[in-house]
Amino acid sequence: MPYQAEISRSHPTAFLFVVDQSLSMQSIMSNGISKAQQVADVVNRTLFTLITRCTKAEGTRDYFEVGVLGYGGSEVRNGLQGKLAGAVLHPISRVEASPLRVDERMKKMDDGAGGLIEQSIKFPIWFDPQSEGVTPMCQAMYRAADELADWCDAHPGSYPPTVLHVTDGESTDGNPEQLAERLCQLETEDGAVLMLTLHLSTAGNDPLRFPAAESGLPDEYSKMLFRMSSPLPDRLMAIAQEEGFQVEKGSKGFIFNADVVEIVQFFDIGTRASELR
Amino acid sequence: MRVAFAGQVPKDPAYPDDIEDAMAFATEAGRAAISDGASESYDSRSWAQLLVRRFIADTRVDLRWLDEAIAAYRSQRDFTGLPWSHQDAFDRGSFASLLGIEYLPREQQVRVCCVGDSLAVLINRVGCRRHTFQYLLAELFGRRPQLFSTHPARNTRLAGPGFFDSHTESWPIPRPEPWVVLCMTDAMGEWALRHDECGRPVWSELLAVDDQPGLDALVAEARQSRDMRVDDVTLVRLSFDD
Repeated sequence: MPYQAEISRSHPTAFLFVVDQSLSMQSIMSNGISKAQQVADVVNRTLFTLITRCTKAEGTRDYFEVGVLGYGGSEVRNGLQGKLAGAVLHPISRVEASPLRVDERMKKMDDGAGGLIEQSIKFPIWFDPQSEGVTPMCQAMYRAADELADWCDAHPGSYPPTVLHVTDGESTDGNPEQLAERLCQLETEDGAVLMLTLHLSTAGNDPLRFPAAESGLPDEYSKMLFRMSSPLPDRLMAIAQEEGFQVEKGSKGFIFNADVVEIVQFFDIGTRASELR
Repeated sequence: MRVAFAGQVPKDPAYPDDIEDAMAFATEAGRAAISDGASESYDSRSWAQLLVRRFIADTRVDLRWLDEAIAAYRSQRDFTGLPWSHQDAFDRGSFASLLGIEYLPREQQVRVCCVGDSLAVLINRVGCRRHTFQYLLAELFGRRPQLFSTHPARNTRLAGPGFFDSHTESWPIPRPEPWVVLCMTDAMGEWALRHDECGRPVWSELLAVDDQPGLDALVAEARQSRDMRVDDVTLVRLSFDD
């Protein structure tokens, strides 16, 4: 059975966020902020959560390697800058040690005696929003495959890498479907690379979450992104159900026209992989 | 009561010091406890150690007992002095099971308290199982267990009526038969119950484990054949034969 490998420091897994940074990501969502800013906030929060999951009293354990690729204009770029600019994928402890900056935010917390207190917490930022030019999605798929081919070779016994792809626009450098197919043929002994897609469409259609067929999607482009996405493994299917989504056999890791809350849920579900040990 | 055997096997042989199970004994008082600290939590090792020590000191496990344990855990850390990554991890909480045994010689009984997915088994001298607690079937280990959390909001189910009564059981151990109680954390508990359900004399096999190399070999073989989930393993054998 694939997607069963336990995640350990000896056998980490990888999460690669592939984020559309084309001009159309400037459009404003229902909460009044741009898609680019919303996605950047969720990527930062997800990195924070991944670090928290790996943090023990004695330090941050390298259960995960993570990276961010942004694509927009004429290029695919490393979304992690500063000390992390030298490579795409990094052990999570290195990410923990190298945020671009650390903001202060207020958070309500349990006081341990049945009440709530407001406490200042630090909120690190690794990934800033950007939106410019066209949508070189083929280049992005090619670059992701390049990174993950090496990773799979180096980690044959690991839970396979997960790609979390966020886009709102049509590819402007060709049809990425075959490249995505090739990316999803990369594998470890525990299964093939998982591609999960969040399509922040500009069309006003109703959202569609984890569909098993493309028939309910409104256009050829969303149908192509559906086909590029992987079927959900059993564990992610169960987690999606726990989060209140209706899933069925064959449901794919694809959400069309997600709202603000669902963007957060998509990242949460997509990064819950296997058990840590 | 005496501890006839107590051994542990870490989940990752590359990191033997990172075992997050804990055990504690006070044989003169007839008390023993094991705890399984959840892997995905901030400091489950300290939390598990604290729980077993507290059970040895005070076996009346209830909400007050738990509140005192949480207060003791929190007093060990200065939240505001922690780095940001530790603050959030600390706030998510640490989680652990507790299996506590108390021998009551006058009543010729063993009282078993179990919260979470550790397993206690009462067997006789020929390895015949009389009782198990808290799970009776291997398939129940697939559920998400209720654990003790250092985060009070995660313990709300424990505040339900009769929670602690329903997680405590008393077993008669009439003389002169030499009874044995096996205590084990979840990976071994699931493995043992599953094989018992298939008719394998697994309790006799566990009775025969009397040193650490024996436990290491049993666990290594089961892991290698993917027959036992890879997790920290604790096995304790308590004898009531004196």
